[in-house]
Amino acid sequence: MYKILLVEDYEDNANLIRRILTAHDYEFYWASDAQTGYDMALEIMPDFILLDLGLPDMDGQTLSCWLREVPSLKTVPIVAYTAWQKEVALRMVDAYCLDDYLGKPVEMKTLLAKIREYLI
Amino acid sequence: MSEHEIELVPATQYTVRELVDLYNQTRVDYLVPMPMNANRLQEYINDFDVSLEHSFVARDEEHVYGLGMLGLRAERAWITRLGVLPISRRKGIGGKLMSRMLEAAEALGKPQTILEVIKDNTPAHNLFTKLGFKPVRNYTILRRAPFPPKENALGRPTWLDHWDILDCLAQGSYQSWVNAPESMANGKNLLGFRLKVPGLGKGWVALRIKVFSLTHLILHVEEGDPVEVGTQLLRHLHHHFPRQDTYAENIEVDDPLMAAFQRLEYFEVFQRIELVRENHVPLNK
Repeated sequence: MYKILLVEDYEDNANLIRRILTAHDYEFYWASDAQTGYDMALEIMPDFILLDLGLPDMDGQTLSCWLREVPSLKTVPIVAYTAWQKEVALRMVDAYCLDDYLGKPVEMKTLLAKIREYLI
Repeated sequence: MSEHEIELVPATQYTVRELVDLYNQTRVDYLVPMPMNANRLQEYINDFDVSLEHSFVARDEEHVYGLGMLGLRAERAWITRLGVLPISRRKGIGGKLMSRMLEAAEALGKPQTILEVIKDNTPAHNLFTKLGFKPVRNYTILRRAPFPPKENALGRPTWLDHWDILDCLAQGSYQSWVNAPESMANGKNLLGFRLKVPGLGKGWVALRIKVFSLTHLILHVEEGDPVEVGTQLLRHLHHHFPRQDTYAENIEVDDPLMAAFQRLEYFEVFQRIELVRENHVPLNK
């Protein structure tokens, strides 16, 4: 079963994504801030990370760079989940070692399709 | 919700945690994602001289609907973190909060009130214009991911102590509220260095360093071509701190140093407009 880590501070969003992903047999983990996300990633070694860029303790893109410094997380797909406009989101993806992004609000079928792109 | 039931109370009636929860809810759909936690909001209040006594929460008997914060310094006031819950907008709450803070600023004898609005935030811009604010400066907010520069830097920096940095800032050019000398003096972990490169020029950098990031970056070129000297200043900075994410806030869009930032692969995230209001002008009610 693939492990998916969501780092997102807004609980309602997290609960919605939890319901969808667990219904599709993903093992779901949630961290509500960047520091917890970092600790959890090291502990569980997720197969996929969905990362909100607007987190209360540090920006998600900053966390992304720190995650990439962990050898075992270097190749884990990290997809940004963000309300930034497309042009800015793409710059963030390019600059901050992210693999891709999803714009908020995201449709669940779009989210599932994106996960399947990386977890075959 | 009836408009007549809404009252504005000083933010001192709430804990920082309560204020940050309300703030985050008002900004859940904001153009630019900028949530905070309680620690960050407390730091914000301290660094930027926010007076919770003169900041206000809009509420009725059952719910809270919005807030606005007022910073106070010698000659100016600063309105910040204005927000209304999405479902409660277009009911005049933002206008009430603004008017209350402007009245407070005038009562305290501040000749001017300033604020920044994100470019393209038309509803906010319209509100501020209606209240007599006028645009004075356009700022850009730049980011740079953590990696060392490709080229080496020229010259050798001379690191400055806290007081030298504050002296530099006092003599530098106009800065927005968040980068003003008072903000830098209030904040922790102030760093800076001077650089003189024979044949090129000289300048200095001041900034704040956190575990993961460099913020409140201020560059100043005293002699020489701003782009060439600025480039060397930034190269030194990022060779010295290759693992920190960098956030350069409120750089004027036509700053001659912009090309130096671009050379070091900074990119624009969004723009803000600084607006000013003369407080002696009566509010239209």
